Amino acid sequence: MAKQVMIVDDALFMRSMLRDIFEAAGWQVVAEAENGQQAVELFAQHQPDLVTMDIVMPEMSGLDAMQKILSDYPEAKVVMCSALGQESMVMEAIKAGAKDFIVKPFQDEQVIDVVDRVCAA
Amino acid sequence: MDIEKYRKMFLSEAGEHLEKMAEQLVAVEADPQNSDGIDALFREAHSIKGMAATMGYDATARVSHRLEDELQNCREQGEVDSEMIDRLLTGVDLLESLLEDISEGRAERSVDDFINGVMLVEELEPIPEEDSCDLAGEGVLVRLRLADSVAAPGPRLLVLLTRMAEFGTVLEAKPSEEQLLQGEISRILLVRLATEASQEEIRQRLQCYRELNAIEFPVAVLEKDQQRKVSRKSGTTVRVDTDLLDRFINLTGELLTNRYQLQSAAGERNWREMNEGLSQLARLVKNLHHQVLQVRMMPLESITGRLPRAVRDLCRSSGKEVEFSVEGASIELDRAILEELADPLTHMIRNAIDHGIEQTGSVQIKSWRERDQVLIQVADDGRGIDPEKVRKRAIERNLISPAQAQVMRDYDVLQLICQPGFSTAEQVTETSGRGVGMDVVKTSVEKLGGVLLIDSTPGEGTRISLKLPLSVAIIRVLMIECAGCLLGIPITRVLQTVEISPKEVQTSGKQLVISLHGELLPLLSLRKILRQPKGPASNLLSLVVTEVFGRKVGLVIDRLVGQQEVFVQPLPSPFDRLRGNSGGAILGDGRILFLIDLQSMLEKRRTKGS
Amino acid sequence: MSQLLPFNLGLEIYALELADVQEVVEHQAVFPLPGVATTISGAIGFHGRIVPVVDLPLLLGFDAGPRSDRMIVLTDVHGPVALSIDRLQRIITLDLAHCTLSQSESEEDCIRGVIDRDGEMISLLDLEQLRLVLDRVCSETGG
Repeated sequence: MAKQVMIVDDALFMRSMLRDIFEAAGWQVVAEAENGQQAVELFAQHQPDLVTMDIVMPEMSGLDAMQKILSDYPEAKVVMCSALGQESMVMEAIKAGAKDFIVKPFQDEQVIDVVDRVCAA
Repeated sequence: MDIEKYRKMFLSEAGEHLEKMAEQLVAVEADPQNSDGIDALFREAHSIKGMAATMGYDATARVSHRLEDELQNCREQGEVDSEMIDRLLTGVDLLESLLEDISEGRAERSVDDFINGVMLVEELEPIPEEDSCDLAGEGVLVRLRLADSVAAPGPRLLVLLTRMAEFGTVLEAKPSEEQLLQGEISRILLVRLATEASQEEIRQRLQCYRELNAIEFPVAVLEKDQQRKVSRKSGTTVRVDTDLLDRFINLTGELLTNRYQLQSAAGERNWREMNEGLSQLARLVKNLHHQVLQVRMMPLESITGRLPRAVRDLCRSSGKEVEFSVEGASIELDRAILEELADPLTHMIRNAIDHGIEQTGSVQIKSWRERDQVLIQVADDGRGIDPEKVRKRAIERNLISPAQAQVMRDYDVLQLICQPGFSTAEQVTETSGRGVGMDVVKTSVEKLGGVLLIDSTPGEGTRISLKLPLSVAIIRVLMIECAGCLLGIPITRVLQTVEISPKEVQTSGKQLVISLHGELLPLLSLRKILRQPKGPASNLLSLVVTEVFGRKVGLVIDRLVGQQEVFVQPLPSPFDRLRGNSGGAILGDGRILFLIDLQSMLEKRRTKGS
Repeated sequence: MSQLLPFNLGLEIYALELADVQEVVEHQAVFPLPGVATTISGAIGFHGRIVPVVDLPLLLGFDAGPRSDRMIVLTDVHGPVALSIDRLQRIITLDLAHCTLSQSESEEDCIRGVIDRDGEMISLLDLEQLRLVLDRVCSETGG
């Protein structure tokens, strides 16, 4: 069965790009969220194998959303998406339980490499 | 490949190539159309490229590749202009700095400027010292190097550090979590880890991180120093002749080149080259094995050196006068043999003085080589051993029957002294003259694959001869468990060990296979080969990847136990003829490990089946 | 006079000359050697050496079963090899010259002769034949 992923990003462009990458690699995108609050609700609904979480989002930040998800689902696997220059936020997220991260701009195979190994662990 | 082991050799070898390049450059500058010189430069650059690529030193490989390209152009043009000489010199300088980086354990410096053709005007400053090998203490040291291309090294190292914690306990890390969180930038993570996991497991589980340039297991500098101090006493290190080291470096260079050859032959699917490379490899490995055995050799002197002192002390306490001499102390033996021999030798000397020498006399150790054996004789000119007394005692102790005692030759009777139970602690000296602890001495000698013989003439003295092999069969084995048996496979026969889920097993015709590195690997069950009942189902299959009849197979075993150096004894005749067994070893805890020879085991099945 | 070490194999009594015995070991852990004939039960560590253990009753055609926890280690001339037996008896002293060493019928039974000791029949183990049998077992391609 295809692995399920939820994409969280405020930019539609980023979401569709990630969707394309995942679908090309045989993943099933079960949900897309455009802010942290939505991410928390949709996660509870779908409980996907993996979440990609943009780190900077309006309303609830990616970090807060991840922490909220993890407090209800400690096994959740969250991969942070960040841009260059957001290193300290990424590290905070890793300390808080993010499994890995990808840095924009990213290449398809890099993304798949990262999510595959997070799921394999 | 354990890169750390080869790093130094790579450095030395690459350094030589660089030196030659510098020499050739001078020659070519003087004579720009010197095509031999250009060819030589090209070859040197090519060698460095091959080695660096094999070792995963990307920047070094890129620079040498670029030099190679430019020298190719020069070849085509038939000359090297002065601008190009400058460019080549800059490249050689840069390579030198890169080797320095590698030697210091730093990440290689950026080479983009050079590759992009920008001339480096400013002096190449060495990157500040950040040597990372100073975490000393217990546990395993793991050093991870990020590739140049990794975008966010800080968070990347933090992820890796978190991952390392899954192997066990992170005792120490450099940079530490705090340092990383505070924004310290590094491309190298050094972790001291308390873990059950083997280096191979750690390596395998980190292999999915393509961001990593290298996964290394360095030895801490401090730890090495401590080991050196300890070794003075315990003899766990050996001093090695620099000539021998040079030979190692040369061999390693050849091996690296060979590996590169094989890699490219495999890439091109050129079977002829592949075969050539393999026979080359066979030759190199054999040579290497020979050299390694050479390193293990130490002179007999290393254990006889302390004897004169012991003799003097014994003389003083017994009031005897003994002249002691050692002949042939420079004869070399495997250090494992010498270690085992030290106590027995002291014991024989003590016996000679306590029970052989009456008031004054001489005790002599003589050693010489006879083909593949070393003979060591301990002789005294004391009272000797009376075979009649030995006969009597042996009968008393039920070692021989009176009838036997009558027909036995004196010489054979003397050997009885070494029988366990011939003498016991409570009746120490006079009856036998020599029996005390001789069974222990004989056992030690036999354990090493040697022979002990006693010769004595009453009133003239006693001579104990040891015949020893030059080197012992000490080999490193992979210990495995199968159907309750502890078995060993020589590590040289093991290509890889893998643990897989039974779900990964597929069928191909009648054969069970798994896919490993994109190859279908047939599976063989060791239990089935050994005609043992099937094992209980498990959610983890342990495999030893090895080669039989020139074909890679996965041997399914019950459990991987570990690796160990063992002293291999052949089974006594006629059991040494048992197919599929190549001897055994007694482990430190008294367990016996049998060495299996898979190929002959399967041959056995083949012939039986046919 | 000869000293003999008698022992039971099944219901029968066999014996070895004491001179051929290196040691009797007791409670020795036998490490199984897999994939070989069942008559070779493994090996023991014996003064730093690996000494194979032979299930003597099984080798001579008696039933399989648990053996005595004592084993007889033969001298190096005949091995070294450890023999599993069913029960060890006490050493006896006999004048072999006065015993009738009756020739056994078969060469395969490893009996050098039979001693009649007050009506009790003791078979004297033929170590040379035993060696030949072991040679064959070890050269076979598998049990």
